[in-house]
Amino acid sequence: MNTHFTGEKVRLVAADGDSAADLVMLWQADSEYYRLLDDDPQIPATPKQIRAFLDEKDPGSRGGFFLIRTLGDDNPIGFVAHWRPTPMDTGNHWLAIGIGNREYWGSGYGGDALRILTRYGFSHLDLHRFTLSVFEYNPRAIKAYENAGFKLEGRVRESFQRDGRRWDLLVMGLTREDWLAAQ
Amino acid sequence: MNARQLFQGARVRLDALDPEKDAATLSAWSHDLDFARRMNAEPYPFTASMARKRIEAWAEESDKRESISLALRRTDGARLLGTLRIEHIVGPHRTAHIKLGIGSSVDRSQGLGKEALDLILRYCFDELNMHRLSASVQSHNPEALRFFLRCGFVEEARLRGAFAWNGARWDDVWLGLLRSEWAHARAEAER
Repeated sequence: MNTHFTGEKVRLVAADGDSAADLVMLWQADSEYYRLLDDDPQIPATPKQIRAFLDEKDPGSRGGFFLIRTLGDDNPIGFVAHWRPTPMDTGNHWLAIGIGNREYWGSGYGGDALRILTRYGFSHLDLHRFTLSVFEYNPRAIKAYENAGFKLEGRVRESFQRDGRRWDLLVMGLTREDWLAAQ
Repeated sequence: MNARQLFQGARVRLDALDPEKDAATLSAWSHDLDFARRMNAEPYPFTASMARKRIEAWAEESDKRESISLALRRTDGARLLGTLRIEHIVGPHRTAHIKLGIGSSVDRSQGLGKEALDLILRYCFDELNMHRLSASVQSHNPEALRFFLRCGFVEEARLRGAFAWNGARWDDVWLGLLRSEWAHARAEAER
C-alpha cells in the first residue's frame, strides 16, 4: 500500500466535485467554520457552484485538492488543498486547510494533514516553499501552523472587516530549508 | 464639495486605455524582459491584437467593479507613458491592490509615477472609499520598493524566496497603506 499520503492519524485522498461537493457544502453551512476559513463574504452556495469550484482544482501544475480521512474509521473530516497562485510563482504553492467536522477540532488531525502535504510538496513536487494566510482571531490554526514548521512572515494590517471592526491577516511561510532542518 | 479634478495632476493625467490606440504600445513593452521582471509579469511577449483583447477584458472587469485600469499620459500629450491598475477590489472589505508601470526608461526618474500614484491614492480613498491599499514588489526590484515607501506605503510581509529569477530566489515584499495613514500624511502636507 502507498503510504506517502498516510500520516499518524489521517490520510489524504484525491477529491473532486463528485466525491466532495456534499461534504464541503455541509461544512460551509457552519458560519463559524467558514469565518475561520475565508474572508470572502458568506453566500449560501448551490451544489452546482460548489462542484464547479472543486472541479477547477484539478491535479497537475495548478495543484491539488484532498479530503482528509481518519485512519481508524475512514471518516472524511476536512480538506487540504495547494495551488500555484500565479504562473510567476515558481516553486511557491499556497496551502489551505479546513477541518469541517467540529468534533475533530484541536486534536492534531489538521496538523497531521499539514505534515503529509508539506512532505509531499518538498519530497515529490520539488517545491521551494509553501505560503498560507490565517486570521488573527484563529489562534488554534496559528498554533497548528507553527507546530508544522511555518514561520510568521508578516501581517496585512486591517485586511478585512467583520462584526464592525477590522482584522489583520497573518502571512506564514514554510521554506524547504525550514522543512529540511526540522526533519 | 471639493471639485478638484481627480484625474489631472500638474504634469500627468489618467484616462481610459484605448483598445485601438494603446495596444501597439503594450505589445512593444511586452518584448522588454526587464519591464516584465519589474512588473512581475509573465515573460511572454504578446501581439497588439492580444493586447487589445487584454484591454477589452480589463474594461469588462471594470464594468463589474473588480478592477480599474487607467492609462498614464502627460497633460499635454496623448502618448501612453504607463498603466495603473486597481486590482482585486473587494467591496465589503474596501480593499484593493495597486499596480503601476512606466513602460519606457526615458519616462522614468522624473517623478511622473509619484504624481500618478498620488492621484490614484486620492481616487481610491476619496472616491472609491477604500479602507486600505496593498502593493507588492519583488526583492530584485529595490527601486520599486523605495518608490512605494516614498509614497507612504509600509512594508507588511516578506515571503522568503517566493520567486525565482536569474538563477536565484527572491522575496515577495507586501506593502500596505491604511486610509488613516494617508489622511494623516495629507493633513501634514497641507499644514
